[in-house]
Formats: sequence, structure tokens, C-alpha cells
Amino acid sequence: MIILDVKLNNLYGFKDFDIAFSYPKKIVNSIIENEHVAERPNFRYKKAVILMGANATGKTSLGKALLNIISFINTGDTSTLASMAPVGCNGSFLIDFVNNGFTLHRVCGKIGGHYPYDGDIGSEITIEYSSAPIGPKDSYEMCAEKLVNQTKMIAGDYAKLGKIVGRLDFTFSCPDIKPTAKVTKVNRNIVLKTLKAVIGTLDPTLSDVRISKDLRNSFIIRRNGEEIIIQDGKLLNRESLSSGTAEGVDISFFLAVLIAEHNGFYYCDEHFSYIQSDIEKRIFGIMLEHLDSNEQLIFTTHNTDMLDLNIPKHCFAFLRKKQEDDYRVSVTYASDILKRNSDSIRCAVENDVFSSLPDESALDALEKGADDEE
Amino acid sequence: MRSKRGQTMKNNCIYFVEGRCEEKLLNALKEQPQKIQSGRVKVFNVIQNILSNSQLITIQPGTTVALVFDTDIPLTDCLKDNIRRLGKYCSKVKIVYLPQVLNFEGEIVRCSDLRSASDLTHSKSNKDFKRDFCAMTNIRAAVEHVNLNVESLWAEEPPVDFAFLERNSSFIKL
Repeated sequence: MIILDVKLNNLYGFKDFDIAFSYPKKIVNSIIENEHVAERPNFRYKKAVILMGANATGKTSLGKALLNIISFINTGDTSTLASMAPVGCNGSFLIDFVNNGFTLHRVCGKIGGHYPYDGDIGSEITIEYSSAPIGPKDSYEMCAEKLVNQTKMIAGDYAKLGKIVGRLDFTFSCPDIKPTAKVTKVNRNIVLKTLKAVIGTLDPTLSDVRISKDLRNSFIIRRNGEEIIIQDGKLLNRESLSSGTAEGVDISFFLAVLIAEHNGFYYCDEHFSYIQSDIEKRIFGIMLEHLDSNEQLIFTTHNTDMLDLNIPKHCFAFLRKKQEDDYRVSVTYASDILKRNSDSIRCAVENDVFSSLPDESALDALEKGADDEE
Repeated sequence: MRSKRGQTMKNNCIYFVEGRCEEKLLNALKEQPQKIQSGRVKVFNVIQNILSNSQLITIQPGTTVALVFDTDIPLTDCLKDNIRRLGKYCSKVKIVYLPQVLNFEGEIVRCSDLRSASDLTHSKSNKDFKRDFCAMTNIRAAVEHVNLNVESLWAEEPPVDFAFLERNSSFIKL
């Protein structure tokens, strides 16, 4: 599954927010090969996006919004959509995506304002769907133009939307939400291999990782007679491991799902807060290597060392929150501003070219000797 | 800090070395007083394996990439492909070739007073040498004791199959 464009309005704090995942021009000698829909070389999409931004700029919310929208398309259950709109306000979304085959799908939704005392919160949802075939020489922009005047209303039984577009594979993982359900379906040997590699790198004393013979869907890590059990993707005795190693268990599962699945969309949200920078860069590289055609990875991080990665500039996007009449989140792409090969993304970020650095002025009040004005 | 050729030492350096023995030796030569440029040492056989994209994307522009490899087997396809990939995907990298003639043992014997590599580790046989070398605790002192000449290391002309390589090992020597 590939996402080309997402628009969110009045959902999860996003207002007139638009993030696009297509790019205009083929990159010569790009380390990311075949960055286009399979057999459609002009239909270019960003296969991997490193999404950065200060705190509370919407990195996790974007993932949750996508998760809710895709879950809705798969199941027809509107309850997740309704929860995204603020109480008493109308929200809307638009998503352009490609699933199996050569069809660009567009799903638009309008979510009516609901109140906690409303009995049926899903009653004010309107869904529109349109699609366009992707010709052999079409780009995303050409196909998107074809979508105009093709809109059909989907009323009542939203489950039929899932039947039209086919099942969408989406893996969202953040420290709060684990890809647990999917892990149980992944080949255990792949999970074992990723666990051994990731955990063994983070803590060399944890090299003995095995599939449990007695417990269902479980792995056992042994260290000096101690047993650390992972069951159904959950670490049972988390306190036995360092924060980074415990995080590594979740990363291993995410990586296992990414390696095992095909045609998936992956959202890896700030999983590397406790992990050494070089390891984060290498694991990101491994994720990138395992991305098949028609797959896509969004990777959010605060680690500025990721800016040194030797990947195309269009892979970097920055979320920023600016105060206009209200706080508004927008996205800037490094490739829109830095045009020359010699331009350094790290240097641009450090000099706030993308306006993505946080405003620290509120902290000035805590400086020693600052005036106490009350 | 400046090198002897007046270059600043700001650029990163990565050594891809054939095995654990080479890793140990390079780490020993990086100790003070430094004999070679500082850099990360990664065990990766560039003669038998292709550098993956996940490794290439972590190499920053301007990095010196030093390749340490044996020349006892006349197979160079992988090496050529690795050189091509480094040039194609990593901008402004300087590739430095550190060929061992013909292998690790041969290289240290040639550049020191040793008559046999196993004399360094007092191994019972040449077969045990690599294991014993990796187990040594003070490699720097041991190689200095046998007068290892770093200037001569990786400077011997390799077999003809490797003749396409630039002889630039002095680039990382201090």
C-alpha cells in the first residue's frame, strides 16, 4: 500500500493540513531504487520518509489519524473516525492511495461534530470515494486530475468500501501502540532472527534467544540463569532489561513484520528514544532495504544524526507548529528548499531553515537570576 | 589536529576489515601515539560480500573508507562492485586500499622482525595463530616489540589481479 496524499482538517488538532508523498523528478544514482509504483515508472512516491519536528507538532497524531482512517476503510466501523473530531466541530479528511493493482483511490470523509451525550456518534459521517486507473506513463499528478468528477457517495454500508479497494496492510508502532496483533501472524523464525540481531546488538549479554517450547507465541531470552519472556509480542518482565533493550524488543517485532509482509505501509513512531544513534541509523537502513515495491515507511524521530544519512533530500519532511490566528501544523519538505547536491540538511536544520526548531523562550524563566514576575 | 600532509582531521574514517585479527591490529595502531587515522573499524569482507545499502546510507559525505583485504585468492568481482557502489552512492568519499600480501600473517611477517606469525603469539601452530592473536591483551606492545613497521604495512605490490587498485595506503598513516 502506498499513500500519496493526506489532507486533514479539524481532526486531532490538524487544520488545513496537507502532506504529500509524491516527488516530481527521478533522482539519478539514488540509493533507494525503484521509488515508484511497480511497472509505473512515472508514478513516483516517496518510499521512505523521515518525519521530524519539535514536540507536539503532530507526528504521533498523524500516525494515529492514518491508522483510524485505514481501519475504517478496512472494516467500515465509523467509531474510530468520530473520535478524531473535536467535540462540537466538523472535521474532514482526504486520502489518496494505491493498493494492489494500477488504481489510484481517493477516500474523502466528513465527520460531523458530535457531543458526548449523542447516542449515535457515527450518524453524521459522509464518505465519498473516487478512483482512476494508472496508465503506463501516468504520474500521480496526472491521475489525481482524472479523479475530479468521478466521485461516488458511499452511504450506509461502509464495509463495501473495503471490498472495492481491497484490504489495506498498515503497521503502526509507537511506544504506546505495539504491532502485537500482527506479530503473532509472522513466521516465528523471522521474529527470532530479528530479536537475536537487535537485542544482541543492544546488549551483547543477551545472545541466547529462543522460541519457547512450552508457552504459546513466546520467546525466551536467557541471561545468567534468568529468563526473560516475551509472549504475544509483549515483554512480560520489562524491568529486567534496560530501557533501550526493552524498546529493542518492540523494534524487533516491527522489523519482523516489515521483513515478512509485502505490500504494506509502515509507520514507526519514535521508537528509538532510548537507543544509540548509530544503531538507529543502521536499523532504519535495514528497514529501507527490506521495503519491497509498493511499500512505504514513515519514520519519525528527534535524532538529528538521521539528517546525515546518505539518502535523497525528498525523504526528509519537517512538521512545524506556527501561531497564526490559532496554532497550525504544516509540513515542509527538505527537497523544496535545498536544491543543490552540496546542500547539507543537518546544517539547514541547525540554522532553522525549515522553521522546525522549537521555541525555547518559555524556559528562560527558569534561568538562574531570571526575574520573578507574577 | 593536522596530519603530516597538512589535512585537518575533521573527516570521518571507516575501516572495513577482513576479520577479527585485522580489527584488533587496527584498534591497536589507533592507540596513542597514533600510527593510523582514527576511525570506526567494522569487520566486513569486501572480497566476498557486497556492502549493503543499509551500510552505505550511514557513510557521510567526505568520509575516508579504508578497505583491508587479503590478496591470496584472485577474486576481485565483489571488491570492484563495492568500489563502484561506494563511488556511486556515497558522495565525496575517499577510498583507501589496504591490501594484505598475501594475507594477515604474511603482512605482519613482512613488516616486522618475525620469522613466522606464530612467533608473535607463541602459538603451537600457524593454525592457532588467529585465535591466539585475537585473545592477546596488549597487541600494541607486542607488535612494537617485534618492530612492526607501519610505513611498510599494506604498501607491498599486490598480485597482478589486484593491479587496478590505487596504491594509497599512506593516506591513513600518520
